[in-house]
Amino acid sequence: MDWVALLRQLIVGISSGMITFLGAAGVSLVVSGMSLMNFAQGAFMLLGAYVCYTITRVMGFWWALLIAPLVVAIVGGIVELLMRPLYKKNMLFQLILTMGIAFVMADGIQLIWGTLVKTVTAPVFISRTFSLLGTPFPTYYVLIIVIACLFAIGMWLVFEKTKLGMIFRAIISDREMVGSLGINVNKLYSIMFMVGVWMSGLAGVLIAPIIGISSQKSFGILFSIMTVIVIGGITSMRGVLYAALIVGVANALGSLYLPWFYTLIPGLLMVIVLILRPEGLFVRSED
Amino acid sequence: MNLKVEDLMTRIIIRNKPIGFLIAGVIIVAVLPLIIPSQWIQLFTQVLIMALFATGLNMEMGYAGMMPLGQATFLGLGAYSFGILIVKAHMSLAPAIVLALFICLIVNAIIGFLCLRGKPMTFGLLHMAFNILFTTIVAKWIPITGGDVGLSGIPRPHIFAGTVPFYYMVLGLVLICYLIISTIMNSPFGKIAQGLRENEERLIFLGINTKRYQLILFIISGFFAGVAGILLAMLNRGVFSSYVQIILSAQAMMMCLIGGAYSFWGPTLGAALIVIFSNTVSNYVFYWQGILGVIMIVTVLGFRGGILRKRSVKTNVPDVSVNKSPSGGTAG
Amino acid sequence: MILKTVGLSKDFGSLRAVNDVSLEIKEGTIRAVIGPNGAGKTTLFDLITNRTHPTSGKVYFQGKDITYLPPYKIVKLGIGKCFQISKLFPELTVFENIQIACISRARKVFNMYSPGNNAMRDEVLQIINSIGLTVLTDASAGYLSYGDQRRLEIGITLALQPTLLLLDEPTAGVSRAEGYEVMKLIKKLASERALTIVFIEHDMDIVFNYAEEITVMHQGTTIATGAPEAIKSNKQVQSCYLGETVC
Ligand SMILES: Nc1ncnc2c1ncn2[C@@H]1O[C@H](COP(=O)(O)OP(=O)(O)OP(=O)(O)O)[C@@H](O)[C@H]1O
Ligand SMILES: [Mg+2]
Repeated sequence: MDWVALLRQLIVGISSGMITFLGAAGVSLVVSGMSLMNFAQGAFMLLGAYVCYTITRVMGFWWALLIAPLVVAIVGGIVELLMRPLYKKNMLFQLILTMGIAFVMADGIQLIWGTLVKTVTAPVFISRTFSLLGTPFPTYYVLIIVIACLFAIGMWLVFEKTKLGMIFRAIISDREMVGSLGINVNKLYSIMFMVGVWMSGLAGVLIAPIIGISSQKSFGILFSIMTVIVIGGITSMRGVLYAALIVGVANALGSLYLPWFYTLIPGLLMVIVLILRPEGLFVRSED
Repeated sequence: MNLKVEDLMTRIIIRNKPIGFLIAGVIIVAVLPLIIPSQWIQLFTQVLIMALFATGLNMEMGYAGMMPLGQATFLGLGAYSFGILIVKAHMSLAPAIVLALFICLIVNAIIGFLCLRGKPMTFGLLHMAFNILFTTIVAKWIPITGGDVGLSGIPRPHIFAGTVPFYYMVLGLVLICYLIISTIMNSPFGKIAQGLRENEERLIFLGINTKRYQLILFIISGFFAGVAGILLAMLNRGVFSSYVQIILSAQAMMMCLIGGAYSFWGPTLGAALIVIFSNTVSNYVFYWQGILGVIMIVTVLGFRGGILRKRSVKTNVPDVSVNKSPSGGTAG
Repeated sequence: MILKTVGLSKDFGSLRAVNDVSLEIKEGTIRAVIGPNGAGKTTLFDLITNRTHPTSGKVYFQGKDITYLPPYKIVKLGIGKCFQISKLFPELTVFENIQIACISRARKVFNMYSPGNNAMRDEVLQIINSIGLTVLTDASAGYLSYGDQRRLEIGITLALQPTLLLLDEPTAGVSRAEGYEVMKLIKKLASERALTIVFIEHDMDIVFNYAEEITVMHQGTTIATGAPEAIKSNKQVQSCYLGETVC
């Protein structure tokens, strides 16, 4: 067995898992806080990648990393305004709305950036490799892991230590209570949705240098997000993290050992989890 | 409880259905091929097939209030199993149809079982996830499904091979399916569907196994999607990846919502509008998906029950708390 | 014993909502469960019907362990339950609300071929008559007054022909006169059909008028069970419940 190849795939797997986690965490946050399933998350992630492409060409990748997620968040804020009339209506309508938004965004992206596949070139020093045990490893994948970890820690700090985080936690555990505290729930929903979408924008930027970006990929991306949140348990952020890592690594190893089959691995994992633990692998089976 | 008349829960209007109107409609669609140019007949056949697809979908969506977001899975399932049996396994028509429908039932049951294992929101999510998964399988499993190119060379039954005879065959089959659907939805089983839409927990506390109920409804609804898939494969003499695309699922839901999800004929009307409109539009512009997205957003935001909505709900309830005593007296 | 609970407990996080409750209810009796707000009465009912899963303890119905049965099976065994907040089909008519219950009772849920609009019409109309909503047969349930919704809720439950009826505050939010009407109706139906009834109630007049036995709950525990007279004179009950001004 080739241990070095295995190790390399492990890094690739963890980094792609971390990217999926960013996208899925946004969905999970919005679901737990607003009971809204955002099917446009894949499209937002793609938008992040495209904005990153444009900004990288003008100002460079590091600026893109900073600005692109913000741009996506602003678009998300506008989209959230559309959803407001629907919060009190049937959930089906919300789902169809986000689906419609995903369609519009996919074609909108195509209208702006064209149909050609785009590639983002990362800054020179990170597109190099570093060597470990005498074999080259791609620096960029390690960077993804670092950034995603920083992000996860940052998010945890915001959640646990700041006032906004406190309000978020409150609204997740008891929505009526927050409304009665005199906090403007509409504004809060806007912020929450934008934070969720901002995460997918960040994920989009990080994934941009390692894939060819094409406008019709959004539902594929959405699928990986969906599998991860089903496996981890929709409203469990931690479960989603573990699930994303599992799926990422399984996928990466799968492409090494089962190349003809690996596109089905996430789906298969999802089905297995559904049969065994429909509420999610990492959710304590309480009410 | 803030109930508005135009809210989603408007009652179904299948009762008092205007029989005369129905007969007139059937006569019109029956003589249609005799008066319109033949290139339109193909389009109208497609309308009929999509109408069946949407009406089947509406059993879940409009009647029972479920969220079948990825119904194209089942249309594709019918079409692909039929197509593969014919093209790859070289079966003849009749056994291929029977076997394809059988496969549909089995796979429907499996997917339905999996989708129903979570909460209502998970149901919609999984329904869509399986649709995307199925799309991926179709795209990647090229030796069997033909990938993006699809499978061609699907025959029609000999006597119905021509455009006009095929139209009549589809018309006949669709009407038979409609009869079955309307019988089911007017039966006690169908009554329960409306209860499910309004309050699932109440049904559970009436002693009804709602999961099992939903599964059965799911299978029936998916079965009609499969029938529509087989017909579509015959119509286009081939099976293509567009049959399973999520955009087709979205179109089917739009057919129901625009036409009126709470009437039996709403989805049919919606199917006619959407199929004709999409054919016209895609002749001119490239962005049908985006346009459909806009339609979805506008429809959902401005939803008032669809075109064939029920117009009057009884709001003139006699003021009960006042004239209570006479009726209460008889009871006490 | 038609219903028996043994050491039933339920924790919500760190809160013990129901604590070691053991009840025994004899066939054909009317039992009231009383206690201040938040005492755990509704939760107790939820545990009996497995709407929430108990942390520990057992529930027996007619000698059969039903602790882990899914709620629909428990209902099928013959336990009918009225919720504290009416759970109806708001856009369906009174007729259809009752009809759905009758369809379920007659096990016709999966009947897909016989015409459904007038299914079981006579039985449905008779139940509507017995709950006194005949004039409102074709009104949508969501438009009914609060009191009529309570009646409909009871009607739906009765349509199941249960042997044990659990009523969570059947008269809450209803005028006192109407509350008495509702209780009179329940009592009449109970004696007609030999029903066993357990009801939660805050109105002490109603409790002492209609209950044959009373269980008092406080902070999740049952502090007393007995005949109305015994409860009235029970010191502990007086101090922690009856003594307070009851709303
Ligand atoms: N799902 C839940 N999660 C957390 N706590 C709960 C839940 N349901 C009930 N509780 C708590 O359990 C306690 C008992 O509630 P319960 O509804 O059983 O009281 P009750 O006796 O029915 O009160 P009331 O007379 O107001 O109806 C309350 O403190 C309540 O806040
Ligand atoms: Mg209560």
